[in-house]
Amino acid sequence: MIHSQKPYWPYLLAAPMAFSFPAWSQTAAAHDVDFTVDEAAMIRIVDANASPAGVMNFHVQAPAIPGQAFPSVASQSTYMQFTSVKGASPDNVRQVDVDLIGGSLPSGVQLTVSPSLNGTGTMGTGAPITFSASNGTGTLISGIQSAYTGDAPGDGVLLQYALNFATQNLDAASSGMITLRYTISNS
Amino acid sequence: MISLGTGGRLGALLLLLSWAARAQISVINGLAHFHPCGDPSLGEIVVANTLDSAVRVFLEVEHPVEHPHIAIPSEWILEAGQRAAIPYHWLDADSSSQAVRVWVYSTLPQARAEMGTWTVQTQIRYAISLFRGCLTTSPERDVRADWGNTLTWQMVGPDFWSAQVQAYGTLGEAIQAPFDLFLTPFGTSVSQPLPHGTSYVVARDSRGYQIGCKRP
Repeated sequence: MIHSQKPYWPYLLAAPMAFSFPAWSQTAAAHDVDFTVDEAAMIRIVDANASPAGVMNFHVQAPAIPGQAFPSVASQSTYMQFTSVKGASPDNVRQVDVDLIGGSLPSGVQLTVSPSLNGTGTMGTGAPITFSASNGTGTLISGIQSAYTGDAPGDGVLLQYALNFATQNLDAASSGMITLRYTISNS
Repeated sequence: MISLGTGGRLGALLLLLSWAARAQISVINGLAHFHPCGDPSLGEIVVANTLDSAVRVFLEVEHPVEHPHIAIPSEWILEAGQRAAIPYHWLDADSSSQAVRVWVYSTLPQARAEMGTWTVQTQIRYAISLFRGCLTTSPERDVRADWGNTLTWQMVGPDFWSAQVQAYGTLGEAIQAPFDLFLTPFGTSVSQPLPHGTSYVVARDSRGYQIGCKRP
């Protein structure tokens, strides 16, 4: 490792994104023009109508003929809409983690959340998370910098929810409520 | 719910994923704040309520040790469309290195699970990292860099360090944009992907302290 201690190449360090540009001329009074950029982290989950309200029903229905396994169910989706403006290090990269809290999936049932990234800017990288009785956490998107998804219907990170199960693992006595918690943080 | 209906026909297991209308908040002054020692030991977290109804914001502090490092309100009421700066201050204004994480979230609506159904609700939470301490003036002594498939940086000293890392090719040409590096003295490391053709890197901070590292 080589090193030196000469002052060199100064730059902003962990400072708000505030810049000042002096404006002057010989015929006008000098004044400063200041502007600031919010270091925003805004996130919401909406349905296909871009409404924060929504209900998804997964009907795990019995087969038509005795002896058959329960048929699979179609996946459903929501959208994650966000606006992110990164700042100086250490808030220059962000990620979204998902935790299953406030309950647990019944044994033998898995819920997979798969992201498809859509937006403008550095959206990062998405990875599916499979929740089960034994796994309740994962990183959904990493490497987010400055980006936005839009807020119109169909805008945003498409989150597909797929329910996976095997008939022999189902238990009709299982019911209740679980919470998926989406956490955005700096990486 | 699987039920044995008339004729012995199996019923349906219904899993209900419910997204009820709920308050939504945003954090608009960053998810990580660093307070250099010597600076005022005050800060604020700016939150905004983007909906047209009031919301109760909860702030939960996670300390790495039991000793609390900051004082911050645990709750804050945001009126519709309101933006508020929630203040906090560091309790120990000395030169020690400190870090806390503040979880910011809003009220979770009451959801009710019905018999034979599974109800899944969602919650949005913001994790805000707060750091306070001194920046090292001896990165050549305090910072460790290990070459592998990536370049792994680690602070082995007692202070923080923030720098930009520039990769260079064999002819001394800069490769790609600089990489933002922030090292904390709590044992964590940072892996930096290296662009193809990197021969050496130089990490420089805003005060002119710099270290170089050549690919072995």
